[in-house]
Amino acid sequence: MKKFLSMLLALCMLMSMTTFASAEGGTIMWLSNTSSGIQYESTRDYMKAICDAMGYKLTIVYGDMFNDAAGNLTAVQNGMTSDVVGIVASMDGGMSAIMEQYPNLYVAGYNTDMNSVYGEGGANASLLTNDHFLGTLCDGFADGADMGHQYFKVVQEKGWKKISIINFPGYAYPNQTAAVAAFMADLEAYNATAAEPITLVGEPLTLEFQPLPDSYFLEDGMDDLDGIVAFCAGIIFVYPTMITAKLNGFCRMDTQMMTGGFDNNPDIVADIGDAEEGKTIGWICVAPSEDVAYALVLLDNAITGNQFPDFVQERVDSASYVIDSTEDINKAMTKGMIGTGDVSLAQISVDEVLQLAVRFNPNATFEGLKGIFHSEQLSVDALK
Amino acid sequence: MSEETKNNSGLIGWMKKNGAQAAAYSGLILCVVFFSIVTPLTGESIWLPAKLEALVRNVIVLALMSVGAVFVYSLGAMDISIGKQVGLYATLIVVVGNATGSLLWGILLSLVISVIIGCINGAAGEVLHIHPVVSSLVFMMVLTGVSSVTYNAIGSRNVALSAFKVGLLKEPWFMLLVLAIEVLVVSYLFNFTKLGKNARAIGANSVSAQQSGISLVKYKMIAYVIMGICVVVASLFQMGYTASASDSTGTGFEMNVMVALILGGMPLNGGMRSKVSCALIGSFTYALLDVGLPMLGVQPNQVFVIKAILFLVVVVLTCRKKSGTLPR
Repeated sequence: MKKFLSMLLALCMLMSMTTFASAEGGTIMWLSNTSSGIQYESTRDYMKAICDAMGYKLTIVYGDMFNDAAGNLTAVQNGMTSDVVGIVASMDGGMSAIMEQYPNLYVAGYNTDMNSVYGEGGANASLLTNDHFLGTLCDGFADGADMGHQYFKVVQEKGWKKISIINFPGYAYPNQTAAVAAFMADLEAYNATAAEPITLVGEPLTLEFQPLPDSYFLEDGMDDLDGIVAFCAGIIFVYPTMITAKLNGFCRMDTQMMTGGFDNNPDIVADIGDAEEGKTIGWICVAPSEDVAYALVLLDNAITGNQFPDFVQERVDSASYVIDSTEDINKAMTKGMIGTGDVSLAQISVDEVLQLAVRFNPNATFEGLKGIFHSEQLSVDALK
Repeated sequence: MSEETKNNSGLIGWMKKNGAQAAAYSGLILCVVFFSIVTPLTGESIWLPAKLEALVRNVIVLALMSVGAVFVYSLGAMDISIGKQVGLYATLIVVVGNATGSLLWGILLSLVISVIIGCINGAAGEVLHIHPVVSSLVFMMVLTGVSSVTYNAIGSRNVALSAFKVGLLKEPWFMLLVLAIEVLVVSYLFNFTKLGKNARAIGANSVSAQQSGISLVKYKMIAYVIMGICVVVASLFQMGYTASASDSTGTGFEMNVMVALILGGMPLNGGMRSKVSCALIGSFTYALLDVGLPMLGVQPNQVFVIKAILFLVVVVLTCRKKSGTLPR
């Protein structure tokens, strides 16, 4: 028995010392911030299609749900295999520790503003001088103030006169603090000259990642709002409370919400559109799954030693789908990859993505890459 | 020979006495053998230096906490504030370290706080006649609030140690050395002093322990303080891992400790069968699953499911039933 066990253990050790050949171009790891939902699924499938075409294998690890540095590093470590050649990072916590541990890997951000890198005194600011860090494509605007200006413009267009503001805490989302400040400045400037000013009911409410409390609509004036400006993920944190309040008569039936993010839950999808149609969600802005191609192209260039001649490590605004009508949401749900999860409906096809990389198109440029993500090609209007 | 004597002799008797430990050891050995054989088939190996390093880094914080927690679990109690304590101590070590240029003051401050929390947690159960888990729940909530306020004031979700480097804390050999020292110290206290013997006696039967002259308040406080000190040591390595701390550092660690101890064969209601080895076996098994399963292509979110199933199997195999009572 002892001999048998010894032989078995020796066999284990012997086999375990033997490693097999890895994938052709290596593996791209995606440090994802989500693990479910249509946006995750369509991004995953699109990435896989691009990686297949480029000759890479795709592996996914899920970062810490709170973006904790140690949690993200552990996730990367546990998922790391010898053939990983680059990381698409959708989270920034622990990024410098990750890159310190794996100094040969290239990292490109997707769907994250990498505030710990680009923010003042950020914990990962050292990456600004790391040539293996390739920058990021944000989830929305790189500068939070731009989001504030955009949201105020929408409020004006919608003609809302009584509004409230809800946002996440600044320590977690500094961009939202900048967005609220810019929005308030625009509001003040508008009210200074407007015949009919816009009233901000109450102070902006900061949600500590908890759903909006029911008591919100019992506060003075909250039952008579035209719109709620939710800089936070309003569909998750505001919408359910709003619906309950409407059913209980604590919120006007035609009060609408504007926010960022997307959920393909049929009930939510059916509630997007105009106030006249009785819809609660009046405006949403979402980054399309096609955005991930930006990171993959930069990684492929870096891994193959074919970086753009005009490349500069930077963070750039994402493309954005603005959905503010029944027609828009119907288009997104039937003709867009974001609603259907169908990679063949991607607005930047896999073949087009290859042409953005220098390996497949020696004339490709960084300006060209950025340009396509800020063009009309990547918009709800262009969905056919 | 009576039927009972027959049952208690031979293999059945041995299994009754050592079943939980045997299952725990078997689980760890099975994991090692399984991953040694199967991971090479996917082109990887758990014996590669990088993976062994990852294993040590995965296990160190959990093992340091679990070893300390053996004292508390042997009482039949538990502390669900340790995750938040790790967050607080890691933050203190970083913030004070940046301010003073030394880790020492942050560690000392953390030790003082851990002793205070340990004393309150240990004494509250006896003095207020509540289950000790209630006081630890209160601390968990208080520390969550403290963390939120602190990071709001800092204006960021994370703080990095910028004053100096802590490379030593990332060295696997140093991690193993500290773990070995902690295991030796805790094992000595647990097995060869009255601190451990009395803690186990309280877990086995607190009434008879009290009637034998054991001060429940005193020994419970000591058990929590020992665990608190071990949590500070674990926090140092947690912080050293990325040389930073965040508002979510330590979140969920209390559950990891519980799972590791149970995987290691620790009886949930404490008592004489509590062993320090449970913490080590459970922690290594837990970390091995974390490192090994992704190498087999198991998706990270499926790792949780597999761990949950194994946890359930171990609980079913190791629970001791007495007629008419719930599993113990």
